[in-house]
Parts: sequence; structure tokens; C-alpha cells
Amino acid sequence: MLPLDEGAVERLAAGSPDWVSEKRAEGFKLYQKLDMPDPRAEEWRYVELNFDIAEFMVPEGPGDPLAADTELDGSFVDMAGRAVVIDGHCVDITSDGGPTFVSTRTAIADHAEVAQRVIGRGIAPDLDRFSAAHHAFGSDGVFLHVPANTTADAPYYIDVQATTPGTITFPRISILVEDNADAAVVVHYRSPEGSILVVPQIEADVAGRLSLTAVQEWGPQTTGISQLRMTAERDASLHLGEVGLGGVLARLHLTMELNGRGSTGKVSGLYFGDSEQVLDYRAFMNHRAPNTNSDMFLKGAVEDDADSVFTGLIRIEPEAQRVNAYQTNRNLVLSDGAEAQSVPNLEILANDVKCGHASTVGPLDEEQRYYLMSRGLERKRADRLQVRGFFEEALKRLPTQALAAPVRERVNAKYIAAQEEGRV
Amino acid sequence: MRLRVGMLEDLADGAGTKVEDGETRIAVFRIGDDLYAIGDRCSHAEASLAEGELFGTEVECPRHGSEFDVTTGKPGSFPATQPVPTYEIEVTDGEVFVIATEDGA
Repeated sequence: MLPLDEGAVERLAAGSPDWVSEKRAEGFKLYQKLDMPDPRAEEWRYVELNFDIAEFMVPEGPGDPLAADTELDGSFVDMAGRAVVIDGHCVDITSDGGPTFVSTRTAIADHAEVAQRVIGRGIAPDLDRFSAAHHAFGSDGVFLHVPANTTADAPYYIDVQATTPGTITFPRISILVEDNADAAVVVHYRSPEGSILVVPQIEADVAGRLSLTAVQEWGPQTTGISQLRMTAERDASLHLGEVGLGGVLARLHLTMELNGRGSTGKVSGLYFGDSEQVLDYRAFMNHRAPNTNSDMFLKGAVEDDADSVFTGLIRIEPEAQRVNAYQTNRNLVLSDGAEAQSVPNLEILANDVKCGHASTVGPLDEEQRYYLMSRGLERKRADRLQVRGFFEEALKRLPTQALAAPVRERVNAKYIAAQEEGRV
Repeated sequence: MRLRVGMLEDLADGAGTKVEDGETRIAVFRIGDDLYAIGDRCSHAEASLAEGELFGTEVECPRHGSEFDVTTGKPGSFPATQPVPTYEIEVTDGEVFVIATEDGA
């Protein structure tokens, strides 16, 4: 294991081409300069970080793999490709041919020209100390290039695991979808028990259509600081599906850049926190071109002492006229000790737009409970139906519908466990 | 008619699996080493019982919360009042089949 210092940077940089090493050096410089984020900064409001990145070590190789999650990956009839990333190292990757689906290392070595267009360009190293560290100490991940006019019929499945306690790892996924091409990607985040810090970055440049679904099931002591940036060119469409279930602190910093005229960005998702989990969502939807559309839709629940945070910003640049933009965030607070924060923001610099937001935080509806009980349902069952119905709307919007059934089951299981143990 | 459900080892314990053939929809439940098959359409509003939650041998309809005993197909609570059919199961070399007769066994 390597401490996060210059020696680690040199070791990781050995044998890389210049453009990769330069990015790494830039990241390291920023890593030395930037402090841990402060909850007084708007982007980190409500979240206290009681650790420093430097307390963790970088593993030199991948740890032991976790058992396959057959319920989730078995829900796909077909996969266009499958990759396993452990502790930031791509240990296994296969695909049925067609688009380039390889490890980041292979992409840098064998597909240099196209790799250089995407890898390391998505999330700026100066975003925060986590991103700087990612650029400095990241080692490997997955690269997907879908050339123009290509359609991948089935989703690509990427199993991202962080398995070694005491470590910090930096898996990276880079995606390039060219003009009039289609792809669907499912990323599954997993880790065992034990104190683990993982900082994944996903960068996607899209001129065609991309749907990406992240199912986040980090272990109970894992901190996952996830950073995701997607850009859309002319008439492109982006759809992010987000399922947040695990982690002691799980954060997603999401940016969608609608750069091309007529492009569309959608976010659909759900999250459910229990015990002392903190689920933290920061979503930025940037409209930079005319006739762009966006729709953000996230539903969450918290029970026990869990906290959730959603802050969403729709920003509409002056040149982005005739834009439709909407964001919705609804939260159920199921226990007295749980808290949900919901902060939607609009920043509109154009004058011919349709833009709106909806945000709610509240307990289960007494009237619905009364109605259901008047129909002969016992109280616990009535409440289960309400929770189920609440999430159903979000499940129906997930871009890869094969995931809806296993995700539904996991969400319900969380609530039922709490009911049976008398926590809600 | 004999419909293949899947391999026994692939069926999750305490959960339902839906099998379909034309109009016929059957929900198969695995509880420990036991398997039960009942009509998948809730007799109240046709929701899929395979998607319901199991509590012991009772499955809770995901749409309106009626419970059905998976061993008998009988409803235990409102709003459903009519039972759903039950079906026979066969296991051959670890492969699970359900015998889909017109109106159940």
C-alpha cells in the first residue's frame, strides 16, 4: 500500500504517455494545495467530513473480488459487455465486439487518439480535494467508445468494487458516444464492511444517445464520493438513472452540460437511507444552447437517523433561449431522527424559457393511511403500500427497466426490515 | 402444459418469480427448500403477485395489499375476496417446471 505522496505519483506514472503524466502532475499539485471541503461552502452545506483523504492508502493492486450479485446482473437478458473493476483496477472485461469496450490502460496504450479526447477531461481536478486526488492517484477503469451510427442493443454492465479496508481508490469510467449512436451503461457500486474511501469519476461526451444507470450499494462503513459529468452535443440525449442505497456517506456530484442545440438531459432516480447514513446529491444542469430540454426527478426516503441532501441547480445561459427545464425532488421522512434537505435553485439568464421546480419533504400521509385502514388494511401494510407507491413513480422512470424489479425489492426490504424491528 | 421456471439454485429464497405463456401468468415462490406456484394475477386488480413481498407463506399484493397464502391461493385480507389458482411444480435435475393447467391444480 502506498501513502498519498509524490512517490505514489511517480510509481503510478511509470510508463504512461506524457499527456497522462501531465494530468497526474497537475492533479498532485492541486491535491497538495486544496484543503478538505468545508461545510460552510454552499456545495458542501449540511455535510461534515470528519476525516482527511491522507489517512487512507492507495492499494498497489486489486483486492479480493466480491461474490457475483446474480439477482442484479441476472436481471439482464442480454449484455453488450461486462467489466469488473476492483480497487480502481480493471480485472476483467469482455464484450460482444462492436464498440470499443476496454480498460482505461488499454485505451491509453492502444487507442491513444480517441482516448485522449475523453480520458481525464471530464471532471476538473480543481473541483475539490477529492477530484485532485483522483487525477493524481487514479490508476485504471473502463473506457467505452461507441462510433457514429452504432447501436448497442443491450446494456454494458460495469461492476465497480472497492474491497480493501483502509484504502482509497479511484475507479474511472470514460465514455464517448458519437453522432447518432446509442448506448446504455449500468454501473454497480459495491464494497464489503470496513472503512473504505472510494472516489469514482465518470465522464461522458455524447453526440448520440446515452443512458447511464448507477446502482450505489456501498458497504455500511464506506464513504463514496462520486463525481459525474456528462456533456451533450447537438441533438444528443443524456439520461442518468440513480439508485442510492448504501454507504455511511455517499455523495454524487453531477454535472450535465447541454452544449448543443436541441439536446436533452434527464435525471431519474431514488435513494433510501437508514441507520446513520448520509446521502448527498448535488446536481447541476447547465443549459448552454437554445432549444435544450431537461428534467430532473429524484425521490428519496430516510429512516432512523439518516440524512439526505438534495441541492439542484438549473442554470440557463443568456444564449439558451426556448429552453424547457424542470426539477422535482420529493422526500419521505419516516423517523423522528431522520432529516431530509431539499434545495432546488434556478439561475435564469435568458428571457424566453419555461422553467420550474418542485420540492417536498414530509412524513407518510395520515389521510392516505386512514383511507387504506378504513378499507381493512392493517396499519403496517397501509404504510408499506404508501412507501412502495412513493418509489414506484421513480422506478418506472429508470432508463434500464430490467433493473426496476431487483431495485424495488431492495428498497422495500429496507423499509420492511425497519418495520419488523420496530424502527419506524 | 409444462413451463420452465429456471434452475432451482437461481431462484431467490423468499421471493417470487413470474413465468408467462400467452395469457397464463404464474408466480412461483421459493421459501427455503419449498416451492409454491399460484396464479400471478391478483384476483382483485390483476397486479403481479410475484412482485409482492413474502411474510411467512403469505404474499402481499404490491398494488392494494391483499395477502394470499401461497400454499392454498386463498386471500387472507381485503380487498381481494376470490382465491387465485394453485399449480403443481416439478423439479428435475435441479430444473424447476410448473404444470400450467387451464384453471390450476
